[in-house]
Amino acid sequence: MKYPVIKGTSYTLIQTPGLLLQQATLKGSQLSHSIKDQLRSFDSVVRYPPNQAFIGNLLPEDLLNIPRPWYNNALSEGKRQGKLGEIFPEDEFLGVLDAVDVYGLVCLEAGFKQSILQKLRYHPALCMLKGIKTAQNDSFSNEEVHEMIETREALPLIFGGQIIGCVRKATVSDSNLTASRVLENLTAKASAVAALQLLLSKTGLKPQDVDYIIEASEEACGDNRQKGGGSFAKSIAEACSCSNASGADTRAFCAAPVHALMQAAALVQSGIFTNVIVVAGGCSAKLGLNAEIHLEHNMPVLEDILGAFAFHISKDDGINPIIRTDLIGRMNVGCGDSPQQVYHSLIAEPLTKGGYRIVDMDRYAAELVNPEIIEPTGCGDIAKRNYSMIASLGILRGEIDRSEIEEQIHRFGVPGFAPNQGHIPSGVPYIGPARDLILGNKVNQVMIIGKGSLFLGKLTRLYDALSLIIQRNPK
Amino acid sequence: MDQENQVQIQELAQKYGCEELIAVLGSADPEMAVIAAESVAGGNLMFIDPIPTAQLGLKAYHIVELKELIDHQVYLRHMEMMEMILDISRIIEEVSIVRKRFFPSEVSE
Repeated sequence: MKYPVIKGTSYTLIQTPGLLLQQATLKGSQLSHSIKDQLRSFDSVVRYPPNQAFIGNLLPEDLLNIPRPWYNNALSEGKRQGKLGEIFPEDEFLGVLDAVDVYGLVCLEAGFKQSILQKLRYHPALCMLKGIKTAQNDSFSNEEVHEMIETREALPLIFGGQIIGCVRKATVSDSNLTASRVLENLTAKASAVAALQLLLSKTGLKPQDVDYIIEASEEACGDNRQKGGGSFAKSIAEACSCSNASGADTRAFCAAPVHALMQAAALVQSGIFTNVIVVAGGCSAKLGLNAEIHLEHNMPVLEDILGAFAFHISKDDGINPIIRTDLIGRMNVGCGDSPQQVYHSLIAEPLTKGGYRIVDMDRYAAELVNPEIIEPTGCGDIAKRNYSMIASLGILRGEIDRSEIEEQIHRFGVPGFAPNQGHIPSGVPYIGPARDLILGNKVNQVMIIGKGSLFLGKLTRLYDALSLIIQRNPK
Repeated sequence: MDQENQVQIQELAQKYGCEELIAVLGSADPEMAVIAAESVAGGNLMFIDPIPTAQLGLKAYHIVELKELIDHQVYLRHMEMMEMILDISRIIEEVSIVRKRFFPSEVSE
């Protein structure tokens, strides 16, 4: 059987302290000033070991050799460009936010707009965006920006402590198109555009060769009568000049990226499309989610970054790692939600079907949120908890001896290294490293696991999970 | 325990009375189990405080404490794997301590 392959990956991180402070203000936090004092510099964000792992300058596995806390053990050198991606500062992001806004809702002050456009025109990937190449001539004076904030419910955009622009509401009376919703959605779009443009630049895939885009974030765009109508996907395709592509959004909370990968693989394997992109941008509402707890623990505010990714799924080329579409692990409605039943369905069933044992996977990657961010909240190391469950499943099946638990977890468990951005950490940050390790003959097969908290939507009390096996190309 | 859960538990306690209810915990972590047991016993102790004055007065038991009350096969089907990774004795000890602290005259064990 011919399986689809993972032909390219890209990851971006964007430090957005201005958006973080805005979130804190919107939530009415009393701690805006304390948060300001504990914000990180861009340099410390770049040198933070988990971030270097996210963009591919470090293997996630290598983080286990760096003492915790990682924020006190920053690398002596760090590059914003990595083998798999790039870390962007906020001014560049605001330039992209403006460049992808086609309704004139992002209003940048003239001087800032000019300088950031100049900067972005030298960026090897982002310079290709049509919103950068031929920017709209719609800059504003400082007075105009302040007037919109003070009298027209616009939200300020801040860089370096200064108001450099604002985001306007999209209609006079629609509560679903307020300035904060517009900013949230444009943030998801702009960060996804950055990830896709980086993917195109890194892999050489021509925009016009992209057939279809599946967007897998957790945002909803629409007006009051169709709140989650979409489509982020097509708007991202348009911004990246993928003129022959269409697309649509897939939603399943944090499990959506793995669902989207499965769908992309199916579209390719069926022959419907040749080049399918799975993409997701970041979530501004999750910035500073646990900032108050981090401050209590005298930690820097680590949730100051947006994450985004893009994957290129294509037909078998005899080189790239394949997605085993015949071995999809699911959490069906009937399987309930006790962990034992879930892990049986999600892990054991596809492995058994493929003739594999638990120990045959070189790596498992699940809920890869950086433990340093969430341990202070009392949630523990979520990634590691998944691997403990997988090891116990191995014991139940008689494939792992009890004495080997720690050793096995260390061998197959990918440590958490992704920002706390919901759908971003959900297994998929390891696809890039896995692809490289498989191509370099270092590992053979990896299971990627996505999990999503469906119950947050109040339509069901269930959660969801999906697993995929990525394997060395048999040719 | 999130705010909505706390509000739901409070509503159930008001409707049926605390003496008719216990809270059953499933936390994998002793610390989280203690926080949840304290929340339902004495009101919310977490940093988010939607019902600061509520004294729910509910006794909490972790599911591992109720093993003998559950059909053995059912328990095995759902809990055998979890038992391998849970610190069962510590969970039982810590959740019992919370009950003894909040209900000194009612709880014998």
